[in-house]
Amino acid sequence: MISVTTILAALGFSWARLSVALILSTVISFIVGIFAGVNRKAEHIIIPVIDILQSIPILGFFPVAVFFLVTYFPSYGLEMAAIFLIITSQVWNMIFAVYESVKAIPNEFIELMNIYDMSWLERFHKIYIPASVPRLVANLSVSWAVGLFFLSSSEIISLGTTNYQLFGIGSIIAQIIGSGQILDIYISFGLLIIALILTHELVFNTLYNWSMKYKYELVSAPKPTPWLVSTFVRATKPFKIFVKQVRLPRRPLSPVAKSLMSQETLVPIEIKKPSKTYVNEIRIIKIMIKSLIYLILIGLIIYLTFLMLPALIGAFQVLTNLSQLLYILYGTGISSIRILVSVIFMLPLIVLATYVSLNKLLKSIILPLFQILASIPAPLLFPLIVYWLGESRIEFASIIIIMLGSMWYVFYNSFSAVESIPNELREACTLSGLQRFLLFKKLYIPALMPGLITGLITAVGGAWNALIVAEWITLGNNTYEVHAGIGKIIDQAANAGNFNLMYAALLVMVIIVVVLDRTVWRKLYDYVTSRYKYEV
Amino acid sequence: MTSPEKQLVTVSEAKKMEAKTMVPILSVKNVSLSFNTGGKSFPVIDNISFDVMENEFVSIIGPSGCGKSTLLRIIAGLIKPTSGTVLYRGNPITKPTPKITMVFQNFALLPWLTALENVELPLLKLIPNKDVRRERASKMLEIVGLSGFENAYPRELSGGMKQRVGIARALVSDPEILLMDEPFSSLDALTASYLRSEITNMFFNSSLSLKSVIMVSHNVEEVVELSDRVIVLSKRPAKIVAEVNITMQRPRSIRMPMFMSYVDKLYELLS
Repeated sequence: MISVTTILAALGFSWARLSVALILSTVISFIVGIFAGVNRKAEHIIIPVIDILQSIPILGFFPVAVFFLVTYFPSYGLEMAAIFLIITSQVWNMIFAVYESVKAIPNEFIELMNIYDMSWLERFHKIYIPASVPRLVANLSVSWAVGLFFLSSSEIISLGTTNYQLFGIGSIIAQIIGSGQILDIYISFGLLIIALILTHELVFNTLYNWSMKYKYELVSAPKPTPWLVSTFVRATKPFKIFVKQVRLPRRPLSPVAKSLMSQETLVPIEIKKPSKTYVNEIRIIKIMIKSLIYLILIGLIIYLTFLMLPALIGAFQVLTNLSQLLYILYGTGISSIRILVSVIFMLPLIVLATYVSLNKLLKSIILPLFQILASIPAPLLFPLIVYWLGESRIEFASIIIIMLGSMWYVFYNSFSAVESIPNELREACTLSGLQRFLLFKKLYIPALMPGLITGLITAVGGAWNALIVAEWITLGNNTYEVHAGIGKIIDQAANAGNFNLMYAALLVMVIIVVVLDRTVWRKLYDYVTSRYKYEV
Repeated sequence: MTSPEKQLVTVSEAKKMEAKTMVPILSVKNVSLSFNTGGKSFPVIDNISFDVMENEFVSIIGPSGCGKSTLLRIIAGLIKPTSGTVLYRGNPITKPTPKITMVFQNFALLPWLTALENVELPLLKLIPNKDVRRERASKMLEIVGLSGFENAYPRELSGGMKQRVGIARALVSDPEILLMDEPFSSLDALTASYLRSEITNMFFNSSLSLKSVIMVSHNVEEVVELSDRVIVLSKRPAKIVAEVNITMQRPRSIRMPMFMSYVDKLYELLS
């Protein structure tokens, strides 16, 4: 039997990893997001690259990262790999949040900054960072959940003959499930859920409330952000007690406001012209910084190509072998069907999302419940579900895991789309006598289409990732596996130390995911947003 | 000037004369509304009663946030009052009816439906035959001056045209009472003034069954231009401060000597 203190310590270790990763992600997203939002050239490079990076199933690359980092930093390479994995799972979305916030800054603000000739530091401090705070903070809790998803599967990994293990909640729960002590399983999940709720209420809700003072949106046209935290906040009344007691810090008044408020006469301000040598110095420094950035970028690209070259060669060697290629393609096909089935299972969620949005009682039950369910990492649930369903229903269990890792996006995006239907539209439909089926057909279904598609895109992206944990798992001495799938191929190859096969499978998966994203999803998204969005 | 407008006005004036002896088409009786939040009740509307006669254009004005739009929604049957009733031809209104329809401030057009499909919306339940429904809807678009725009989507229309679609949708189900919730306030001044000058013409078109209009507005000039009677509400909780009959002949213009004195009077009552 494992003691509660051990579980709590494991939670502490995992939480520390997640916190470090989240803080690093925040810093990275501020720097990269603001840079992309301000600089046109940077925007043209950064945004498409990130767009591709975020649609790549990162989890598949984890064995590669572990392999490299453990080779280079034997003592703490595994910790670095885990944190690196968490960052790569969450940072893209956060960068987009900052980038889009910066892009959405009204032009008047930019003009204001130019009129007062504000320095870069002042611009960051006064405009860009505050402007991106609300969306970034709204993104934090989902980033935490995503990070936990990846962390829980990154704490145990076996590459070839070596088993790597990090002490944390993921490894502890796997160990407990392996030992088959049912009571311990429930205790550990209970503690995990309590930790999640506390983190949510004490940290993210407080941060969220604090961030609201940076909101300057004049028109309340909520964009479908991945998870609508604000509705959670409103719906989870019983947990709100903590938040209410937290006092929001008051910002000190600016000197200008102070002088305006006091009755003293204003002292005329002298405008100093910068000296010529100063201007020249600044120019030289700017050029130096620029060349330095370019040098680093070029170096990085060369280094990465150098690193990736053997992997690519290995992948091609595998792919040119017809039987190996067919093996990978067959696995991909089966996995695609698995994803398709789970997407079909997800579709009824839009009806549920509509009912939850319309019914106060349902809202107060379903939203907090889903919030907890959604934040339990699916990889941890996999063994439990296999245990409940029995080993013979592994195919079904695997689809459930894929859904648990991705369906929340469909639900919450559809839900927030229904929530944001303007009241006048609802009233117009009611006055037109539309009810039930007609109301769904004419109002709710079209109104939630953009949310549904946004949700599905994210969900399917998540599903490709979830394949890695949903198709193959070892617990203690038992291995549970589906009959075929790309995730299984990657897992087995990593486990057997057959890196070339792993690289080949990853390459195929990345190509398929990126191509599908560029063609099918992008087109569908453009069509749906142009047809079903309402301007306010 | 022998505009058709003037003729229509005289017809409507004649109708009004006979209406005087009739029962009101709509009666608001002792309507109150309060919201309950956290065990406390906040009164929004405080015991409001008034009648609307046939062929009457009644406007409701009041300070912003006083609950005038809420009152309109109670009349529409969208919101249930805490106490009191609204009678339409003697029967209490408990749910929305196609006989009382509404024009919205922000038009409330479904962006995924064409102009024609938007106008068809209230007929989906009323007329099962698709062709008959289509024809009726396009006739109504013609009446509001939008023939040729049947297949345009709302985003392709200007603000004024959108509101015309909104008006067509409100009129298509043969209503007797039309409710308008600040119908001109999201239009630019010029478009609003065009639409205003056409609106009486549209409404009291002899081919329509429309009997009365109730408009909520915060624009005093627009209220004086259009209304037969103005109900002035106090700030929250809303009570009736005054009822002002506007007896100027139509079409009305801001240059008429009486016009500004009505405007001044209403401003005085509002403050």
